[in-house]
Amino acid sequence: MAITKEAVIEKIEVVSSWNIQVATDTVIKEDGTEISRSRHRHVLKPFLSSKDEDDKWTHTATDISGEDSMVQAIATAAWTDTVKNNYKTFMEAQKGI
Amino acid sequence: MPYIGTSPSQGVRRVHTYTATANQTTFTGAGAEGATLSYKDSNFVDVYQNGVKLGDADYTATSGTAIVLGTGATVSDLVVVVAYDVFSAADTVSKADGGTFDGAVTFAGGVSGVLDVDSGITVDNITIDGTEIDLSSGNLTIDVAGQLVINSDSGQVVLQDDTVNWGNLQNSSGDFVIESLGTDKDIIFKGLDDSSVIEAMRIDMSLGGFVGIGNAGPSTKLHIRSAQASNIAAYRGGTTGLIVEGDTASYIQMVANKQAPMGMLFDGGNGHNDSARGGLIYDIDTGLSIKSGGSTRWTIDETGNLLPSATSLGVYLGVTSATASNLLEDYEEGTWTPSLSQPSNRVGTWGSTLVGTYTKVGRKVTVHCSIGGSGMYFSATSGYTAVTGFPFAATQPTNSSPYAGAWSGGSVAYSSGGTVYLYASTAYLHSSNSGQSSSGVNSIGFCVTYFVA
Repeated sequence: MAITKEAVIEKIEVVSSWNIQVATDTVIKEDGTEISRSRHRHVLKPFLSSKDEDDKWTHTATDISGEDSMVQAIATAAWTDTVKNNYKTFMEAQKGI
Repeated sequence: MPYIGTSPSQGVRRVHTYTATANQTTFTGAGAEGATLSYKDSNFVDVYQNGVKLGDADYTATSGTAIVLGTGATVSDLVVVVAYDVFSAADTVSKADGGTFDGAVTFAGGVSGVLDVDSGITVDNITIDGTEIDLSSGNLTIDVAGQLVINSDSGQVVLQDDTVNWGNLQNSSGDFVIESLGTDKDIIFKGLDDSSVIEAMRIDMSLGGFVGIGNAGPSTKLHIRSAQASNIAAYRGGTTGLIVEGDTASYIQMVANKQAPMGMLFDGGNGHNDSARGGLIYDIDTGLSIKSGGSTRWTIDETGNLLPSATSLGVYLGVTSATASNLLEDYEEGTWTPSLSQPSNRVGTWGSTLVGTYTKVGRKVTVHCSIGGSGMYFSATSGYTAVTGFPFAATQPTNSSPYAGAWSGGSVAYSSGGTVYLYASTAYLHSSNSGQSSSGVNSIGFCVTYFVA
């Protein structure tokens, strides 16, 4: 009886231009037959944005080097300069927290 | 007895009398009787001279028409020639007694009257001038070693009882027509099941040709009965083309090779030229599928799950027609990985463990986040920390307003808490009050609900 576990990228979606939604399923198999599947999700954005006490925004590019190659390819394609600039503008439009 | 000589006018023995002249040797032509001498050969001739029968050496009889004496006769000798006719008995059958013809018989003029052949007749072909073969009683058997061919140039074989036509086998432009000629009379197929006569199928002409299988009274175009239903309100005829009837159970079973699809297909009708626009199809590889609009829409797989063929498909609840706002097309639950950032007036160790779970119903996502640590609290009412890593990108509410939730510390005795502000898929836990426990808490949980596109 062999139990295996594998992560499968089940879905990659581009939402609202800059959001890359990734659904990863963890699949447990016994002798090749799937006996369990659970889903984990995460969303990638072009930048990690923060505002300091002087209301100055810092946009740190998201490191996608650890992502699956398909995710990297889609993110690279989706995150054009225009999209990135639009994201920054969107983030900076939010009211003070 | 029939005449067997040369002709009826001649006997089989003729006498020719000649009176000789001096030294006459040849005697021929007509004798005193007036008949001309004629004979077959010397074996059929007797010659007398003055009453004495001559020997064969005394004359020559070879010509068939003259007798030549070896020695000339004396004048006034009386020479008598007796000629016997050659005949043979005719090879024929007695008219009075009958008999057997060993060879073929030809009737050039045909046969008039009744030809009575009691022991049978063997012929190559029969051509009948009349219109009927009439058997007055009993059965008639036509026994052939090969095929029995009924060749009717009219293309019809009519079956009759007395003078009433009841059936017709007809060639209609090459189609084989089986026709019941009696008004409202059915065509019935029967057979023997072991020793019992059973009715296998009936075509009911009084009902427009309804077909009954296992059923002598079909109620629609095709009515198949495995057993008569004992408690049935009514048959629905008319627009129902097929009735499959049983008593304790009734099925239509479809059988095909393993991994081959089976099911019912529905035509698209006028305006939708699709012979399989709708259907209910089963395939062991995929399960039971519902086809509509020309495509498979939903499938119940082998384990019993109902699956749409596309993620855009769902269920419209509370309405009777497709209304976008009533569409429930998605459900999902899973985990996400929270990440803390942008600490402001944050005290203690935050995020030694971070666990996120979510449930998505339609467009609505509810997330829960557990933050583990030690002595976690905000040292000022303006403190906050950001949480990112949400499972779905949130839509932005109108006028840049955020989604709102609440967080709480994990200890009632030392409770801390506040509000959660969610903007652009980043949540901020605000201190929001002055009641923070100075010793902090070791676990914080928050829940927030938002919408996705």
